Amino acid sequence: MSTYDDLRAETLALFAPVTTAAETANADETARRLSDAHDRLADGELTVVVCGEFKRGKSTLLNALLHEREELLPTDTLYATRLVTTVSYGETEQITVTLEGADGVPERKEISRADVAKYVTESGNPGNVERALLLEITSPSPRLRSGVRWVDTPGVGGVFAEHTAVTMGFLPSADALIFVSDVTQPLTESELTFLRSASTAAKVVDDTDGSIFVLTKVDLVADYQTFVDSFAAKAAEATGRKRDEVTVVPVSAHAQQEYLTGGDEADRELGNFDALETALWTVLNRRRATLLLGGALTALDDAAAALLVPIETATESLRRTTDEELETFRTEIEARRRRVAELPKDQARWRGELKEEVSVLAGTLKRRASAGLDEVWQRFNTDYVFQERFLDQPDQLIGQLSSDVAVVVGAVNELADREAARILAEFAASSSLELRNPRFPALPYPSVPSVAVTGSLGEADRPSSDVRRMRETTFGAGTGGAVGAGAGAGIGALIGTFIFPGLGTAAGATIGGWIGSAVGVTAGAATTWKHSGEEAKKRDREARRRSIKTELGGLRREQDRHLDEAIAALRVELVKSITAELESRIAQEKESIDSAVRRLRRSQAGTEQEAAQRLAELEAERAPLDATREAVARLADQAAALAGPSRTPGDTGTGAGAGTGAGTGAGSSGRGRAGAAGDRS
Amino acid sequence: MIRERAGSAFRDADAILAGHPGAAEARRLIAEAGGRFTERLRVALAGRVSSGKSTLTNALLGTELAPTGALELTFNVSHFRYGDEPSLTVHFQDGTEPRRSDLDELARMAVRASDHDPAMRDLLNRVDHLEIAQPIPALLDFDLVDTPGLDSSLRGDSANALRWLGRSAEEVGDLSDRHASQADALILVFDRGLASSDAELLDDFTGSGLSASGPVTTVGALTKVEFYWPRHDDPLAEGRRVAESLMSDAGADRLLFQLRPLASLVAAGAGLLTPEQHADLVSLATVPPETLRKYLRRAPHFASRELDGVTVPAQRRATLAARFAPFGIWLACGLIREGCADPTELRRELLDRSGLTAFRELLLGHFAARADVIKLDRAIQEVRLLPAPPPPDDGGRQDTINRAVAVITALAHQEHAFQELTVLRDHYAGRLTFSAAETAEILRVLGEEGSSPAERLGLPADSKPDALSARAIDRLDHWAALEQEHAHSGPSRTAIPVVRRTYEILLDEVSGDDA
Repeated sequence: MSTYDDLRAETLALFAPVTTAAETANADETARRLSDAHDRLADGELTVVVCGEFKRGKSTLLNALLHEREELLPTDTLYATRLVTTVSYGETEQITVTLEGADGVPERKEISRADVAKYVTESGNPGNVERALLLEITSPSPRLRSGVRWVDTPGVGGVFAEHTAVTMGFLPSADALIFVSDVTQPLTESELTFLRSASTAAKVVDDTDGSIFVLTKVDLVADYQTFVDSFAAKAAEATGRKRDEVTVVPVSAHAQQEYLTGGDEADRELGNFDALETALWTVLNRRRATLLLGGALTALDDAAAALLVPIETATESLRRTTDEELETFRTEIEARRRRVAELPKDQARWRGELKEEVSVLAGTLKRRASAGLDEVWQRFNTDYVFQERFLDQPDQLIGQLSSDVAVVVGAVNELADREAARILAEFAASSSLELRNPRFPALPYPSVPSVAVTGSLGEADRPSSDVRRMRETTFGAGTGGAVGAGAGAGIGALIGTFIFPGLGTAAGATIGGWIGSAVGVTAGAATTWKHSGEEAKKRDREARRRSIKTELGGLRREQDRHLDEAIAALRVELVKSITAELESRIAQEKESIDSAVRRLRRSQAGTEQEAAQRLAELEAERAPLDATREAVARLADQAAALAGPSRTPGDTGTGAGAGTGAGTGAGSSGRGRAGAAGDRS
Repeated sequence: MIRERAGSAFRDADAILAGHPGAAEARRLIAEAGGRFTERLRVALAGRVSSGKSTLTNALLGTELAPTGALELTFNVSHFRYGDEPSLTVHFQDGTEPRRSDLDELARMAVRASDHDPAMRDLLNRVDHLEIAQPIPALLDFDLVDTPGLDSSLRGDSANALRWLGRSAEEVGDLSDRHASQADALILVFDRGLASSDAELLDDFTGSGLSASGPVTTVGALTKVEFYWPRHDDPLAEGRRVAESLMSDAGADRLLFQLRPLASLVAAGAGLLTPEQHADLVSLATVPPETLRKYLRRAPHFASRELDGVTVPAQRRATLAARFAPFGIWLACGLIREGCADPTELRRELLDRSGLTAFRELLLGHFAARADVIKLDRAIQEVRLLPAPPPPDDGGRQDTINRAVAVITALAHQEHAFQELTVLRDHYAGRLTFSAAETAEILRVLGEEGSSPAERLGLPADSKPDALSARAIDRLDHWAALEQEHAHSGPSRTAIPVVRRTYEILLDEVSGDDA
């Protein structure tokens, strides 16, 4: 079976001949679209988030997965990784730390490997005085070549509320989540809480879950199977899934390292990294690999088809023998040209239709987000306020709530991304615009390129100015007062800038601001509370429970308000991105038909012999394009096979999502979008 | 002796209350507090759920007594004490008469609980604690109290078991808290710390209200360090490194007298070493060390596969690995190769190398040596809590109670040992402002490094009485001079005459030996 790596390489190789053909034909829009699509696949990352409690061995696991024996990520008995750290491919090793600047705008700084521990670990950077937000590592490791971006996260305990919120915000857009625990100590309460929170994302997005549970350190314990079974049962309970839907992979990173050094098969077997990689790629292939490949293949096919139109037109005109036949054909082509030429003038109409579609989507997003928030608050009322550690340390409770909200927000962003792809595809086919549509029903709809990439809008319309404005608005609201702004600003900017790339940039900033201010507000409140908390000790739990509920009641309203703002921003951006993409497609179509018309005019005169020669030339011209389309069709099948047997969406959920089970009839071909589609019907 | 003086104070208080029928309850409580004083020192183990408290309890007992088998039983506080006849006494929360039976009852209860016998549920539901008596030498020094855990968030199987019992996690947590705080001294059990920072780990304890007594009555055990092997050749050394960082960087020294790493599984395994296990270890010791190491660093394979040059069957290897952890087997085989083949000797060596022997000595030195003061301190604290606001017409009852209480609380001012305790507490709370050298001297002379006169004076154990007297006089002069200077303020100023007085008493003691 082909791997993602092979298919990706083959797909990338297909771009050259088509691009040459586009350049030769002076099809500028097509060439530009090809170049964008190429870059999206070449730069496209599969994000794998590694989560788990402190000192479970996440960094060690990651070093082993990357075959890094030099400890790319620092590990030590004494300290714990306490910063979100990303590792991805780069020509050279480069380590960049993002620090929170004075005005909350992140500042990036390149550092050396020796300095990593200084920023990443608690002992190196106690209390995070450096105000470090993120560490990014690029490495020329061949293990990273296929474009996997690994995200190593701090523990899940909620002590560093901001960083936990970052982790949680990452989750829904992650293509796979590796949850790391180990067989020498049982699951902690904070781990179970994390799993419960993380499962909210799957419900909001209505997706099959992408998590893999990894139990490390099996080399240390003789009988780890009992442990694995009990772990799986607890994980299933926490995530609301059936026992057999939980993939638990017992591994030993140290045995794997031993294998890499010594080559002993017994170490390889005990290390069990083959099983881990298989599990991981199953998830990645199912969730993102097909999406990335599908996007590139669709773009290739589109371009080839567009480039074929003028060639086919010329061929056809040479084949028409009578003047009458030729005239009919010319009339047809001219009619098509006119229709395409009219399209931009029709803008008002189709834009209206599009806005309507997006506003329906915004409604769906709002419902899903509310359902997600309901779930969070239900957990708050039935679980959190009964947990001793939260009653004793309300700041941890705030951190937990912020994290939960981050999950919901991230999930909404991810859902918006997928739904936008669906709207684009369906809109192109069903609206008054009659555009060519993707032809690969087995692959997910390609994502909507972000406006920044499309570049067909004027500078003034680019989202960057929006981002700034949104960010200022959100922070300016200053819900948390001075403390809020301080603690929230950096995190908001971080989430907005780095974590939600592409489509959701504006919304990302809003959302980031939201999370930031939530962390901030509550950080302020927590200070007062902690004080009173210490006095009250644990004497009157019920009274503390009541007081916490009352104090946090306002937070829910705050969240709703931010949610509306975020979705409004998202809505504006969606319309903008989809419009830009549609305009680009119209431009491509126009380019194609104009070229056909020009060719038609040129290919009139000539003897029969000349015509035969001309036909042969045209045949040669179209050959590479035909070959490309054939190859694309073949690769599309293989990419679809990569995703494995089709699954029914929603069958793993517990029915808490607003649209669960309602949307299977929407007729969409991909996974993970049916539920939302159902909301509309 | 402090014990006699305290005993007489309690008798006096009782006499004051004797003629007042309205003060019967106070009389009973004072008698109870006084009675506790004559009992053995009570040391409780506290820690998060699954931090290895029961394993450590078994290791300290040198046998398997803690009911680790049935989950339903592990929610109870177990109080282990010395008794000539093994027995089990079930104490109830509702004041029902305690129920005494033979020790086999424990196993029967476990079976019935596992079978979810409703009658057993009703019984367990009312249990306050289980008292288990055994003629074990280890229990001659102090009683051990194993608590289910501070972490009230019990999930999964535990939650099911609790549901069956009709108990809440909070209730179990409260019960643990109560028993831990009623103990005279505390062992805080840390596993290797699944926490973002050491400070967070400590929060678990500081938030629990258990730290009130502070380092004077609290030591820490860092358990499960055997799992540092084979990453670290000497897991105990790595454990010390972690413990030191916890103590200094994370401020555990405000909470704990000392934090010691313990290979608790190895220690528990050593205590229960069977002849068959011993024979298996001897056989494994014949495997070349590097080969054995390779086998052991793949524990699951060690416990299940055919291994070249190993005659011990896989099943028995699995038992060994579960009992001793790979590090314990490695350690035992090393010792056997070095000639330590006799089971008794091997057991002793394993206990030494697992850190348990030193830990026991720490408990004896730190707790047992000042047991009387610690217990009296607790009794006084309990008695102080007695007086309630007087009702309008109580016929002088409250006044009588107050007088009785005063007789006992006066001990705190009269007994020098108490003032020493106050100095120690002030030190551990960071309230003293002496130089590093003076601080070290205070801790030393107050017995934190050993109770013999030589140790307290910082002199070699074989020092002559003359040398001891000379040093005592020298230090006495120093502290007397400090007292004159009024060099310090606050608690430090209060501490100076106490230290001076300690030297005076010590001087009497060494001169007395002289005479």
